[in-house]
Amino acid sequence: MGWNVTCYIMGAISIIGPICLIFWYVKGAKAQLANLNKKDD
Amino acid sequence: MGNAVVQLHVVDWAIVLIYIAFMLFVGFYFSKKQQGFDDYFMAGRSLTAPLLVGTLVSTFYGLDTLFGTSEVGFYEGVSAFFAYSLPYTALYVVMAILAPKFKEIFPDGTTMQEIAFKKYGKTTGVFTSIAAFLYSTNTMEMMGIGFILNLITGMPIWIGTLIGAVLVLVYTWTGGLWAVTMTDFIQFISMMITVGIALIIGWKAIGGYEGVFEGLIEWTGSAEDASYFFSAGAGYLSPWTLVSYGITAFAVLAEPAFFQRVFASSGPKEIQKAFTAGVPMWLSFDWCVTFLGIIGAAAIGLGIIPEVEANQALFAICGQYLPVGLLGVFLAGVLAAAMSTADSYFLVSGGVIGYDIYKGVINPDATSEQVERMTKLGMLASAVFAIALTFLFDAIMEVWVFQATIILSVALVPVYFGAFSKKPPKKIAGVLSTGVGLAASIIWYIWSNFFGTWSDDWEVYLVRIGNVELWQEHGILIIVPLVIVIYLIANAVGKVTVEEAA
Repeated sequence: MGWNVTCYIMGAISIIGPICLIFWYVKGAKAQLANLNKKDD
Repeated sequence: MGNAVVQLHVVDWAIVLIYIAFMLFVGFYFSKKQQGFDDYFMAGRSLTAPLLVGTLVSTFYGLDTLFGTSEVGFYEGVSAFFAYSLPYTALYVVMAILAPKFKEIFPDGTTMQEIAFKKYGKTTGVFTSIAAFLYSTNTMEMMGIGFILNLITGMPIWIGTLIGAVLVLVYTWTGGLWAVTMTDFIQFISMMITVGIALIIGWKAIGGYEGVFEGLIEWTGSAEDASYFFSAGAGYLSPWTLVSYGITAFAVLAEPAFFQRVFASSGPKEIQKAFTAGVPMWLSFDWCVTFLGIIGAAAIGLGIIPEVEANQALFAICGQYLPVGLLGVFLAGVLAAAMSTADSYFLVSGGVIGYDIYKGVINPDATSEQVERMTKLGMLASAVFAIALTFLFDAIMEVWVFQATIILSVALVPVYFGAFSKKPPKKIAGVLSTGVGLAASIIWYIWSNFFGTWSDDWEVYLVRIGNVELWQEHGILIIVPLVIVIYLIANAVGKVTVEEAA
């Protein structure tokens, strides 16, 4: 039971972690872009 | 062409080819955006936390982790995770604390070797650079790419090795650190997601723990042997050999590619965030590949996959359970694991030649363009050297232990004492510790390779000194403490320090 649950959790982290990272990157890139636009204005 | 272990559908091939084409496109795209060496080698010192996570994880996690850990899982079960992977994770946690401090102390730093140059002078800098170059030689990844292409196409390994080297070299040569970081980011995502999916699908399909255990009983012949796979302290290796492998984890602390990323980051806080987010992902990746290896052994026992070599089990399992399309993504992920590590080390070893040796020693007044050109030539030299070394070493683990011994023996002690000691370190301490570390490591490996005896049982070289029989892997246990003693004595008795450039 313990091994089953841990395997599914670890598999899920391995899938969800990188997806979160994409959102994190996009959020940061958007903020940087907004800052650049502000400076241009 | 020989027999391929995994048969790919045309859709899978299309995914792999699109992936390769995309990597090359990224290289060419960034080649047009660079202006000088700082852009090329340091990505303008503007890497943010998410990009750092991707590039740090995928640089250090190459094929040795993917195939090596799954191979150990195949033979030794969960101890692959507990005895081999956890020491590395502990060191990543240490690095999460230390790496931001390096960025604070050396905000304009470029390479780890530069610290040796600044603190101890040219001789120590050159010895450390030689160690960094040898460490960053992509022999393991070159062997690995050849091995993968052999598995899926049946082509000879040496042809696969050459194809892999050319491919990685082209996009690293053209795009520099921006291309490496962006491709690492994509490669990290495909590598992580595919092993996660493979574990969840494979574990469920084989019937979870009960199914795996049943398969292991069939494979090993008894329930007692099967339960050994789920015992964390199990393993056939001696404690001293485990300690030797464990000590190689300290290479994380003197990892030239880590230092380059740390110095290329936009600030210490970004580094801290990156390590904090990266550690759980490192752990999950290790867990996934360990259990894919265990599933491989069980699946052979149940007759689900044919009897394959331990290092082919991961492929065979994914070929068995992943559907068309996803298998292509998995294969792209495997290639990603190799390419993301190889591109980083090509760049780092190029930096050793272009920045540390050429600009640091030969031509301090070199222009940015000259340094960039020499860095690229250094990458080419590194690729040739890496391929040449593939003929010298038989096993991937053997290469890794050699490289870890070199970097630990030479760089670790002077770099950390130099960076963190309150008093300026003595020049002689750097010269002697790096010189002895470098010479002792090379002599030990040459000696054990040519004058040691090969053990078929353990698949290692054995060296006999008096009544004591040592493995080649034990060298790290002798040389590193010796270097620490030499450094401390020389630093205590030495008088001359190197004045840091303002």
